Amino acid sequence: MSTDRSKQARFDQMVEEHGAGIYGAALRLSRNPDDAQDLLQDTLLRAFRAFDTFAEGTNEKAWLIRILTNRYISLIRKTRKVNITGLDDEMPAPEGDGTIEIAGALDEEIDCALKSLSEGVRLAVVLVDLEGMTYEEAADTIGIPIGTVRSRLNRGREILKRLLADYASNRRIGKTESTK
Amino acid sequence: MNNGCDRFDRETLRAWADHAPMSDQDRRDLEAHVPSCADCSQVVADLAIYRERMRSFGADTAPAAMPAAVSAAVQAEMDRNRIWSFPRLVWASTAAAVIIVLLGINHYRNLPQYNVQVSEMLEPMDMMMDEPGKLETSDASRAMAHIEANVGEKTPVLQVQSSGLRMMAVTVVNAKLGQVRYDFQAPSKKMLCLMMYLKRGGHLPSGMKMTYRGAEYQCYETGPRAALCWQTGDRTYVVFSEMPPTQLAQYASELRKQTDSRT
Repeated sequence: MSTDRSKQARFDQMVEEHGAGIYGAALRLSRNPDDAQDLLQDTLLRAFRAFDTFAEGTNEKAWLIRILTNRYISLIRKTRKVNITGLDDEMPAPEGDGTIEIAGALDEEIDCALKSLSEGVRLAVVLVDLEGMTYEEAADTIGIPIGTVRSRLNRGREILKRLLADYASNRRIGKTESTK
Repeated sequence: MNNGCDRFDRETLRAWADHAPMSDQDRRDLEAHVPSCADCSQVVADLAIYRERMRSFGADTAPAAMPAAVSAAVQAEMDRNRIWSFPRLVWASTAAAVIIVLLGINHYRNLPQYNVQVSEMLEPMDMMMDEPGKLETSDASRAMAHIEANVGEKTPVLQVQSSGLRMMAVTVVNAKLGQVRYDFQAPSKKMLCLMMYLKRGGHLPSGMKMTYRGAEYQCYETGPRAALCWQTGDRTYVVFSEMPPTQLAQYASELRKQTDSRT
């Protein structure tokens, strides 16, 4: 009993600390508040059930993100019948380097650009660039080789860079036209 | 490739800047090259800006807390888990107890019919003791009527000389321990000898008391293959089980000594 109580208290603490962050990750993955809530709830319940396997000293947020990502992958596999491990060729990497416009990019532009990425590429970008995972952690979480993470991440960054450059260009054009 | 420099592609440069796993040779080559290459340095610098921007992405709209609905659902699940966790033990124990009881009942039902219930017994027989120092006898035929399956025809109710100690009324029961209930009566008192649930070779703690039909019985001695010995008032009754006569005699002798010391 006391072990159960301490387990629950420990888990409560973890959720308190990382719940919002995990919710943010769920939002970034699912791109939809309703789906994000379902994903978050599913993740936390699974995390609680698997909490006995949590080794003290492990990065809590990374552990939760891993469960979240696995749940997300399972869900999209179920609903969309897609193969996460084979999605990196869905969208060709853009040619040309373009100018980095990302520093001034708006959040909604980044959000929009992220949504345009294929699932596999977006997962790599979200986990590494937004959630701060290492290549190894992302590879482990998604279940793909590190080299695949590296190439998907590079592809995603290239696409984002081009898209954000386009958005910035459109913004500049719009601004110029409005001042005329 | 990378803008004007074709030494490393952007993927490799970014992986290096991200401290991704790569060979020591590649790492050394990059470390030596990038600082001196404007094009490659630009890729790395762009990546730094990109990472910085991505880190701040959504910061303004990041949720401050989990949605209440999710918190409630998770809490409810955890509470359910807490509620279940203890009863799981209780229910497992209860289920085990029920199974044991059911097995016990089944076992009891499968016991031979000679396991006479106390309530079905005839009026207890008298155990006669004419005078101290003489043989005490019990009614063998009535005893066997009660426990006919346990006592063979060639296994008489044993008579043990009390040698003036008024100590023994003994019978031999060739039944398995734990299967016999044998009721008989002394001139003044009824006595119940329960040979229940004793395992072969088991002992009862000396001093154990029990009450039957208002009379108190106390076990003051047991032996590894004896069943029960009861002291009731000034009399001692002993029921032996599967004890060879020589051993029984020896046991009776020891018992006599103990009774002597107590009296």
